Amino acid sequence: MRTDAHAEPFAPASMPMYRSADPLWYKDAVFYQLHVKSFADSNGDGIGDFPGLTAKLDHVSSLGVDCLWLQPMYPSPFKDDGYDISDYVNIHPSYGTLQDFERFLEQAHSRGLRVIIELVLNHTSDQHAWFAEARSSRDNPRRDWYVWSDTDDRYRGVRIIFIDTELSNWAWDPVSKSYYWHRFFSHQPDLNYDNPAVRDEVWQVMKFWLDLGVDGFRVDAVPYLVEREGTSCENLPETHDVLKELRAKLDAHFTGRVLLAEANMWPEDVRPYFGNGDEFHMSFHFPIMPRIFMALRLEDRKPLIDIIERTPSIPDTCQWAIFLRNHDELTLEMVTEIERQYMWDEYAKDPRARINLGIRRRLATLMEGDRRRVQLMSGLLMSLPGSPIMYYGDEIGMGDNMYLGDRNSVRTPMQWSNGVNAGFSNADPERLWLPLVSNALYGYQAVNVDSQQRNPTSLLNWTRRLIEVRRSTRVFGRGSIEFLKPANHRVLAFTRTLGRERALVVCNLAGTAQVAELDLSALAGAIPIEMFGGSIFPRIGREPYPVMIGPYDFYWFRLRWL
Amino acid sequence: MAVGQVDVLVGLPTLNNAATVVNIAKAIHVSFTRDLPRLRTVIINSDAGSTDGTPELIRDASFEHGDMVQTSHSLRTMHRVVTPYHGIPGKNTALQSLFAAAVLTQAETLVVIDPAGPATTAERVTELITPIWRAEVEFLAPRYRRHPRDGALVTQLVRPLVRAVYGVELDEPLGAEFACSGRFASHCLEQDIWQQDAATFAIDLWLRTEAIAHGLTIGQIWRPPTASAAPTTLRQAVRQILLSLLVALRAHESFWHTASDAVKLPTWGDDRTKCPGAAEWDHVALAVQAQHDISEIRPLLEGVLDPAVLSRLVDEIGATDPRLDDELWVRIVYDFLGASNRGSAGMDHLADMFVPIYMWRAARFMSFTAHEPDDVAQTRLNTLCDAFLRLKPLLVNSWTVEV
Repeated sequence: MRTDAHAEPFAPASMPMYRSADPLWYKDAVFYQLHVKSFADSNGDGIGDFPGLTAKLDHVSSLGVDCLWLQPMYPSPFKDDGYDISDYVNIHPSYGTLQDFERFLEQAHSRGLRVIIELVLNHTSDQHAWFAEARSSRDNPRRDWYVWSDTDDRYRGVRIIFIDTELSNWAWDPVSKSYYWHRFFSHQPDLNYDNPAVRDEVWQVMKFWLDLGVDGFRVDAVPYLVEREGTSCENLPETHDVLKELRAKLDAHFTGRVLLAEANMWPEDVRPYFGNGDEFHMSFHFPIMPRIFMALRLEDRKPLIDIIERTPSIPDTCQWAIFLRNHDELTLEMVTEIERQYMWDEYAKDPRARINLGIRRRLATLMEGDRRRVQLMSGLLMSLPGSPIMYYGDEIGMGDNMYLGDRNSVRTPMQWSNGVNAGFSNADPERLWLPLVSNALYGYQAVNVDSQQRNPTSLLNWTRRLIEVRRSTRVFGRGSIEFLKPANHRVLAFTRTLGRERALVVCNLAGTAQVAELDLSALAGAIPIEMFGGSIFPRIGREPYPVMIGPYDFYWFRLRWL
Repeated sequence: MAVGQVDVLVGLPTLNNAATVVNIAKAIHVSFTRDLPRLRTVIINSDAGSTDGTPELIRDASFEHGDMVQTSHSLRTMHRVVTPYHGIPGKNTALQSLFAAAVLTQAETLVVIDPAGPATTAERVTELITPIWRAEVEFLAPRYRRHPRDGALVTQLVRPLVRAVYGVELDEPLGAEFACSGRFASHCLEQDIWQQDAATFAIDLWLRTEAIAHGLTIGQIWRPPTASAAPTTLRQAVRQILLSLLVALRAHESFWHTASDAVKLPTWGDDRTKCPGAAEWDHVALAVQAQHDISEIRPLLEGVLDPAVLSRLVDEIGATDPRLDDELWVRIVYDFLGASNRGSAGMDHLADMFVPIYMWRAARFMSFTAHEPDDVAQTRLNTLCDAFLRLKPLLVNSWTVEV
């Protein structure tokens, strides 16, 4: 139930004043991803919580983003950073209460911010009550909510995802004396989506949150929902059927809500998850991310153009989600072996930076603290096709801590100020759930919101301006892309077109000044107007259009026919 | 140049090479893509004005499909630059353009592929690039498997002379293909060789000897047997080689006067090719012709050869039981080079005089080795190299003597 006591008078909860009322808002939106536990701690226990997050919403709002994506906030034994959920309709006590969540949601909406949350469909924690019942006896009504077998030889040949820790996709349950199926960790039993009761219950979970007002779900690990003998048990038609069923129910009951798929695959393999606009609204475009980094290091636009040109078209109501960094490692699964080795050699010279098939570093450290490169990367993120997702802390250039285990290197507490615990928490420093980054280059004393707030030329204020300019047009969210390919491969140039609206983007991927002659003859007569400062450039003619551009610089032009 | 800075520049100097250039360009492309995916690379075709569509074939060749790059994927943009060069058509002008491009692009490695040379594969392109790129050597010259009775101009004259004079066991001082560091390309560009009349045909030898004299680390790499050189008369060939030797020796006089011994060079690649068969020579007819010609020019030779050498030569020609006199041959060569340097006669005249003597030497070697096993013939070649080295002081003397 909504706690209207916390609603601000200018934004009643019943009438959220979103920054866009368009049902296709996600096509234009800028997303902001954060961990509740890492953002702000209100009660001094060293763990971020919803009241803390609520108190910091003005910061998020000031960035100009449209939607928050929250990492899992459910009750969980936290054996997999919260992706092992033990109760789907509650909040982890460390993060507050359901009422705290409702107040947060209300306050976010009142600022025009939407909120999407995690939905882990494929599996639950083995601590979930459903699994406790299912394993309690073979006759239990919930027994069939999971995938059981008396032997471990069913679905032979299905790949093991976590090869470092798991030997089989089957785990022995000593309680019910049988095996259960798990594609991820053995403490995460897979739900049985052949059971209509499971599908119905999952819908009830979704409806619970949707009724509270959440604006959608980032759906975790979607390819693995259904198992069939003799197949890879991935991307099966039956899985798509389940997803379509959930989408149909969503559409029947709600408008303007979004489903975002996590499927770390090549774009052509992800394409079916959009269906005919009747499955997911959005899906991550995983392979584009490493190629942005690669293009910058190679000083060559080729990798980026290659992947975008091999990306299939998607239904008009759908959208790609693109990102530079997130809570996981910079994944290098969707690259060739040569490319992966190159990325490791260039971006992870220190072996501690490597984990799984990726790199556990933040944007600023990957860019070696070079403000120009950070800005170019953000400029690319905001201008390439798709809706950009910004990871918390990247707006101020936060660093990381490779000495922390797993991927916690990029999950350290938000650096709000140079005060006690960076303004994140009043707890004793030892009690923080992760230590703060405190080195001389990226530590909270040097890199924090407060100091950057006071500096008009800070990365924070530049990022706000970047998002503001992106939001000034829909062409970046919805426009088509055409690459110009001048002879100088260090220059990435493309146009984005949406109806009569057209933007020209020119980026110098090199650390040295470059010149390129752009073939803009098809745009003859247009006047390029630089979008950040409004400077008017010479009118485009039939001749090659020379552009000189400084190291790692980029231009966004709005093209006007005047 | 839009290509910008590169790591590797592969140059393809062409003149009417339509029959081979597409396959060569594809081989280079596969090498870049499969073996050197991280490097910044460019192919530059420096064309002398082909009329058979060579530049267009290179420009339009599609490298993205077919059986070439099925499993590999280049990280970088692959550049192809096709450019006609300006100036008098010739090998030196083409190379000068490529060297200038290497300097402009700050290439670390420059490789020049001969489109009329042996069949080029991606593996061979990579083999040429790698030792330079890894900075293991700064100049890499091809080494061909030759039959000891093949390529007499090289085996009887250029190879042993260069070994003796420059102190380096370079097998093929005249090969058209090579690889070198960008630093060497930059150095060469600053020398005054390019405008010399003889540079058109003397450039290959000059490059190698310049690398030696400049103190570069040099290596050799096995390559398949080279195709026959462009058709030319024996007189033309001898003249060009004499002039090439003269240009090189003059340019590096201060170096070779003090060079001693003959240093072995590291060799890359596998000697995968079977030794070709012996060239078929009518050495009897060649000897008769040479004998006749030498008799006719004997008075002229008195102004070139030492009297004792000339006397021995005359005796040898008329001998009923001829010998393979290496020392005599070496002395003749050294006398001719000395005479050339002193300007005792015009180069054309000297070349005309040298041709029958070379024919005599070549015929004599062929007749002596006609029925010998290959390894024995090869031993004779090695012995000849030793003779050139042992008698080198004669050249120094002949070269510097005041007339």
